[in-house]
Amino acid sequence: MGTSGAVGARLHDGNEPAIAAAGLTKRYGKTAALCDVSLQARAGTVTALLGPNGAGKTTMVRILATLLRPDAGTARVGGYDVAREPERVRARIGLAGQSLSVDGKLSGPENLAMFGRLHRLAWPVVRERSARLLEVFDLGGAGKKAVKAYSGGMRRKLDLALSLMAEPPILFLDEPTAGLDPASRHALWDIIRGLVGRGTTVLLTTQYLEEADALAGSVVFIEAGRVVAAGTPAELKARAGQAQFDLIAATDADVIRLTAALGTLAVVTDQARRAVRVAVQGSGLEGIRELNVITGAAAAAGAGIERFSLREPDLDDVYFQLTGHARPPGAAGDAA
Amino acid sequence: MTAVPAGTRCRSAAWGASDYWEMAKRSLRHIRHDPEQLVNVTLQPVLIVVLADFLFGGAINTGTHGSYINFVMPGILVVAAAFAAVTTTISVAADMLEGVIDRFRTLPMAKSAVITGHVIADLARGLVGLAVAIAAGYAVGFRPAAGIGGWAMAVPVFLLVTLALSLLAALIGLLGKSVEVAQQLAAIIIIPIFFSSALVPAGTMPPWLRVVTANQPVTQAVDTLRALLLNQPPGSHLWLTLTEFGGIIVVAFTLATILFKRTANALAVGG
Repeated sequence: MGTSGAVGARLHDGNEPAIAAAGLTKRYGKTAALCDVSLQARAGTVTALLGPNGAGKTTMVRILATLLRPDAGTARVGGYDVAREPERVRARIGLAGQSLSVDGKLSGPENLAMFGRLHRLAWPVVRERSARLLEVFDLGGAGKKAVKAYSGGMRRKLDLALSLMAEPPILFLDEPTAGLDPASRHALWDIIRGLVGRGTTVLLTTQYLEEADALAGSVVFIEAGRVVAAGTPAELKARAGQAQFDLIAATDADVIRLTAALGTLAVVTDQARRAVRVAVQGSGLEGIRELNVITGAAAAAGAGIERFSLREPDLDDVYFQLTGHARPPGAAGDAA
Repeated sequence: MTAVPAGTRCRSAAWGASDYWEMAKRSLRHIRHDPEQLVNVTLQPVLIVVLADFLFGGAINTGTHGSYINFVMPGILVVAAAFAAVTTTISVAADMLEGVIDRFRTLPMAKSAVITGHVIADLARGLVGLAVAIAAGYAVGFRPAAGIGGWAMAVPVFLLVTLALSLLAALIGLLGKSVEVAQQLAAIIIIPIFFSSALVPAGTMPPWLRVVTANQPVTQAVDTLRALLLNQPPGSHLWLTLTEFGGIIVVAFTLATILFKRTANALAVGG
């Protein structure tokens, strides 16, 4: 049994992914929480499992963390099969979840010491890591207070600190920043980036597209227990379409001049706001040339332009496209 | 599984012991953060002693034992141990319903330590209860004839009984679907005490009941403690107590370990 994270970090085969799931299926009664879900995560990367509430994200994490047996399919984590050798998998993973797995009737340092020892770390290691984690997560001030008196953000940070005690090479984070204020969220992101920089593999679930974009090298979209898309954030954004150049004309007459000058390129998206959208087909230099043409044509037509904005597609567009929900007009990202 | 090197096995045993120790420390620390737990084990024995002495003391003729308080004290000790065990039921049931159980499950630790931690804390609470009950007994006239030798045997017997009741309590805690239900179920531990020789001499009971009481473990335990504290030879009661409660401990521990794994898995649902 590995006594430190470093031993567990070595996989059977250097090329084997840190996490490899194939055809995972899980039913609760008649409802299928997961249906034939596969994913792979390379060692030292962040994979985001993205989807709305009830999509099956937590079920997926619980199966990979050996807490739940799938009805069908297989999963290997850290080189070991989760169903056949759960103890070996457990020695290589950390889990911080929505359920907040902390002992509320102990203090923060007591929690760290207890779980460190239960991870079978030597006392000097436990003391050194407890002190470091309390500092990194800014939890030292809470002292001997029982955790049940902590704020939600503090509990979440302690939860993550506990899962880092054994310095696991693979970390599962189930909605790690749900309900955190922006400052705590960014602090947590920095911590996660630091871990990944040192070689940790992270699988995180999130409903925040911004979070997946900020952290993950690859994104797996699931909805109603099925994978609906997977790829890098850039690939997924490319699927959502091109960049958009939005113009707000000064008067109604300017709208007519604009559409006359730009022809089929321009689409009036909102007559009342005099909003005209021009899709940019290319990216990079090619896109800039297109923009030159568009702005040149608009200037030549003498159309008055009040405001303009250029918007790259973001994961929100992917999300709304894939989940079939209409993007609310004027939603984030549309601002000038 | 690959073969385990000899050295590793030794280490594993040491780590297993460490798991039990850490989980026991956990439960003892819960007492510090939640001192109401001790109210249960200190107040109840005092109330029972007072109730027994002033309310029943005059009415119950215990025959050869002298005063009623001398007769009933060993019974009260077992009652106190049973009440202390109910705390174990509550702690175990609460654990199973909280997220912390997930973290225990993902650890490479000895899983039975989750249960035994509470049981060890219960032994500590039981000892506190024992001391309080005896002090209260002394205050109302309890004067045991036992010398050092009698006490030196009585305390381990008491701890054995407490351990068995506590493991049964843990088992009940695992069965309850909620803390409240588990607490109700814990009455299963309390009831047999009233159908024993703990509070009244079995001689006054109807014959059919006498058969039940005479042959149930609580009577053996109470009769053993009574003999030891009144400085009489415990005879076969001692051996029956040791074997019966030893048996309860083995069976309850095995069942609790199996049930823990099963319940923890059944609770594993996600969204």
